[in-house]
Amino acid sequence: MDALLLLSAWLSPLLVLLLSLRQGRGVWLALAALPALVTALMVPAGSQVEIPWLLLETRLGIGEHGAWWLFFSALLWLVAACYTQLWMAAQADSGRFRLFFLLAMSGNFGVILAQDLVSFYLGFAVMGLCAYGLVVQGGEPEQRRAGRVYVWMTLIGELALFVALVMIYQRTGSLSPSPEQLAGASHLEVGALVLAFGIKAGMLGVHFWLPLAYSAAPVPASAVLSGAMINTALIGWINFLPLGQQTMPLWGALMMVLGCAAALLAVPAGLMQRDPKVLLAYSSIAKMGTLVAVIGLALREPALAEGLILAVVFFAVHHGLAKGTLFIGVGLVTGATSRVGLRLLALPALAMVGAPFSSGAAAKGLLKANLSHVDPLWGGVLLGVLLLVTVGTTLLMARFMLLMNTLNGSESSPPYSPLAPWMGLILALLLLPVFGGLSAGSLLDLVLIIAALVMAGVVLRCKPGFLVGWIGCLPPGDMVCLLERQGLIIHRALKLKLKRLKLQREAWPVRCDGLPDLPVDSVWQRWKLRWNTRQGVIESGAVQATLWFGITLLLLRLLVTGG
Amino acid sequence: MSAGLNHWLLPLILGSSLIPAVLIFCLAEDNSRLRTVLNLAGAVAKMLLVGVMIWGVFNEQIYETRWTFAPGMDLVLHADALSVLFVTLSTVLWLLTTVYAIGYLKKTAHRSRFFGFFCLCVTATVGLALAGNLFTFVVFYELLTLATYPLVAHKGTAEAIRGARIYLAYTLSGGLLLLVGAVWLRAIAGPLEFSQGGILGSIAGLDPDTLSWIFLLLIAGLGVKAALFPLHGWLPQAMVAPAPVSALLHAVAVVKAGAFGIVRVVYDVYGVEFAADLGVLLPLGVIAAVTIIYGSIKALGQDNLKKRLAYSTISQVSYIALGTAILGPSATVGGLVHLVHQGLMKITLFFAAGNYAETLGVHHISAMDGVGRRMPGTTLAFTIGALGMIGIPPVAGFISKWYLGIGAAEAGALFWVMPVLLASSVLNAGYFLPILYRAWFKPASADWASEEPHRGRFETQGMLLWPPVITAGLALMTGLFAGAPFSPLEWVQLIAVREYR
Repeated sequence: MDALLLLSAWLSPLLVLLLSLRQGRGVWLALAALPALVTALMVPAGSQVEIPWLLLETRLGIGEHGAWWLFFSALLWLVAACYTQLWMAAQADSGRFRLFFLLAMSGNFGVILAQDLVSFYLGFAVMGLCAYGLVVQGGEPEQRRAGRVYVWMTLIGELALFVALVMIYQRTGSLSPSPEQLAGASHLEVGALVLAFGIKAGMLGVHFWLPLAYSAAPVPASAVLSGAMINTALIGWINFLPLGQQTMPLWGALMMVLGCAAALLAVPAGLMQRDPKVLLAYSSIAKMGTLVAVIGLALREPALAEGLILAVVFFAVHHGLAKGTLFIGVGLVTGATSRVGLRLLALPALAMVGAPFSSGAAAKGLLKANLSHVDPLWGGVLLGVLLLVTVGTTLLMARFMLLMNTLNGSESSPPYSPLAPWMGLILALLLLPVFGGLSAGSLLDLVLIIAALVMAGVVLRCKPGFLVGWIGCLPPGDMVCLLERQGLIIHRALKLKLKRLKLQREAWPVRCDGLPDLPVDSVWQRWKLRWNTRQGVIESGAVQATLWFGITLLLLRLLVTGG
Repeated sequence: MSAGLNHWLLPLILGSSLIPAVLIFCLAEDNSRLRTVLNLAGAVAKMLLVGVMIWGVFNEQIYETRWTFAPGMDLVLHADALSVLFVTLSTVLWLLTTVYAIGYLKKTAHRSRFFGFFCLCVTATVGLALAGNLFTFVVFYELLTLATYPLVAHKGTAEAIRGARIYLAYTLSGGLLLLVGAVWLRAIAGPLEFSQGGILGSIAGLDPDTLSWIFLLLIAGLGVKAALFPLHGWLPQAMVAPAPVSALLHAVAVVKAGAFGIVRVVYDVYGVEFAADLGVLLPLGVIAAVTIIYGSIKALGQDNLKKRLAYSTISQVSYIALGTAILGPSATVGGLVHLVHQGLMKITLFFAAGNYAETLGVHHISAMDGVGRRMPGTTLAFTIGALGMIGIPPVAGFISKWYLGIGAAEAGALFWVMPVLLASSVLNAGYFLPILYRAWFKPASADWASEEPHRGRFETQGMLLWPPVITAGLALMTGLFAGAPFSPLEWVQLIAVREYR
């Protein structure tokens, strides 16, 4: 029974693939996510199914935190699927969207369920590449650009993961290595893992695809991208880094520095945005930055790893759920004329901030509890960053609500936009702290939140020019613009060179055997000239034949003397 | 099973394409029905015979047929696990390509000539796969060169004849080198029966330097067909051939024959461990690595779809040489299994390219906007092939890449092999993903140049549509069910176990 459930959770999106392609068959998308939901509830942790003939000995199962990941990811996919019909039905290409949606869903569940290296890679690759189809759905130039950046970053991440997995397999000799076997990782392996999943997690330096993709993708897609797919990075780190087995001070420090920097820098970057989806993306970079830093800490302090991992899982689940809810909320509120949605949107926003008794407060409480034993320097830094992130997130959410207030009803509403599935998500978010330990949050946090809100209010009222002037100064995707400019310069330079070469070729449109009489002053230039003619020296018949003849002669001579 | 069948099985396998070849040459041009029957009967008969052979070899049954040509010069057909791998690949793909070719060449001239040489080409390929010693191998290798020439020149245009001439010049000189090497080796080491684990290692008193030079000769000779850099020049020129020929040329017949020859020389003549001791594997690996990168970079710049695929072949076939050049069972598995995987994926791509050309008149990538909507089956097959080439699971290419990576790590060669694999993957993505993007995501820009009036219920003729769909399915399944019994991977692991025994 367990085996059947595990399989159906993984395969049901693929099974309904053909059924869902026709126009108006969006209901299959929602059905596809149901088995995963049931599996998360019914199948006990530690159960496994082995399929030796599939790929290289596939193993599916529910790992230690598998049920958590699976349940909340499936919930998000389910609700996103419910809304797909709403936003996508009118589009001609919606069949293509549903196809990629289901494939990415299956990949996502596959990552969570995979207990061996190859099926993990399969899930990660399928999810990553198929999400491209979701990002570019709109077909506008900016979406194509976002898709381009996304797909290249994803591909780099997948290649880095390939390197890491090959090294893990070669080292441990097992396709499903136990945590103990992971000890003894090399720098290259850990570096590849950090890069591979860092890209997915939006780690500073490789984060720039995230604001582009989140804002380009249609609402349901950005909800699952930001809520479910981003968490696969954490699953990967928890599965494959030697956490709790080995100290990796260097990589740990790097992750902590990058994570803390992201948590701090992403806040002003987000505040400068006008598009609420981009703002949410920067908020994701900040939150994931915190988690990257915590993973880095676990790499430095193996003794505390277990508690920290638990905190990361809960934090990630909370963040994913809240972020997904916010993204769907963006779609609902911009499309709705009533203000009910806007008011409800405040709930996930408050959860993000970490208001008392919210899932955010619970997540933060769990994290802080585990930070208390850490060595004072790094622990202190992290605690400080957490406080700053609280302020930053509050400001971000205040600005987000403000933006949503102006955007309320700005787009023509779909004829029928039910709030019920979305409210289900909000309900899950409200209930979440019950499982993670209800927490009022610390007094300091509360004071900071209120202070930040007051600050936001003051800014809103006075609109000081030295702050407001910054809005819109930072293009979404920040670094990518720089990179693109550099790329363009190189591209142009190359093109120019090619053009020059081409001109040269056109000037002497001759084969190699008929070089023009030119004042060529050196043998080298003559050779270069030959190279630039149409065939190129290697591929031209005459030279080649001579070469061959020479080699044959040489070898024959060797045959006579040596043999 | 009688001893008679065991003795005659291998000649029968050869005959199942040789006899149709002879008969088809005699047929009148307009007798297309009988020609089709002969073609398909031969292909199906070969398939059945090969099925018998697979079962026999799996149970360690020995099939061998030997004719003594001259004293000490035996023509030997011998079936071992490696030859079974290659024979099965060529047989299955021959059947599909025959079906495809019948559909592709409908109502064109010189079909008797075409199919006659087509059958001969397969006979040579299978003969080369079943060759039991180096002499037999060389004979079939030359026969393959000659049988393929008329196929490349089939269209008869100036361009086709030029391409075919270049092909002939290259492969004949390659054949010459191979012959010199084989004769030289025969002179110093005696009869060169292929045997797993190699033969040269056990012969005492051979001069290592001489053996290295002979290795160079043999590899240079084989490298021409395998399109190793810098001997690859003919391959992009030969893409003027009709699509079914290109498909067969790139997937099984010529290019693969070269790669298969390299595998034979390294594993069954020199022995991989002995070759490693000689120090000849590293140069081979470096050449393969250079070819992989070079082919991919050249492919990036091509707008002609078939030309891009041709450069892609140059790159991908060198994976086999790369796997052969790395010492260790996993690398062996990775290289050998790519023999099958590359064949399945590349034949799919060429079939699809042929479909675009034949149905829509699309030859260039820049004209492929929106073809996915017009020809979904073909484009889906193309997509699977392309993703496999990049190495994305669950398509077969991933399995090859995985084992090559593991093999490199085992041999301590990760630091130079892994960058090659990664660069190749990135470049493959660089020249395949834009095609997929155009096909699926861009709207069709204008009417296609020479779209035939649409008949039937499919996007194109059934005989053109199903072969790529089937090969794409096979490419997907060999990857997805890599762990299943009788998958190429399992079979190759059997070979590797016997090789390193």
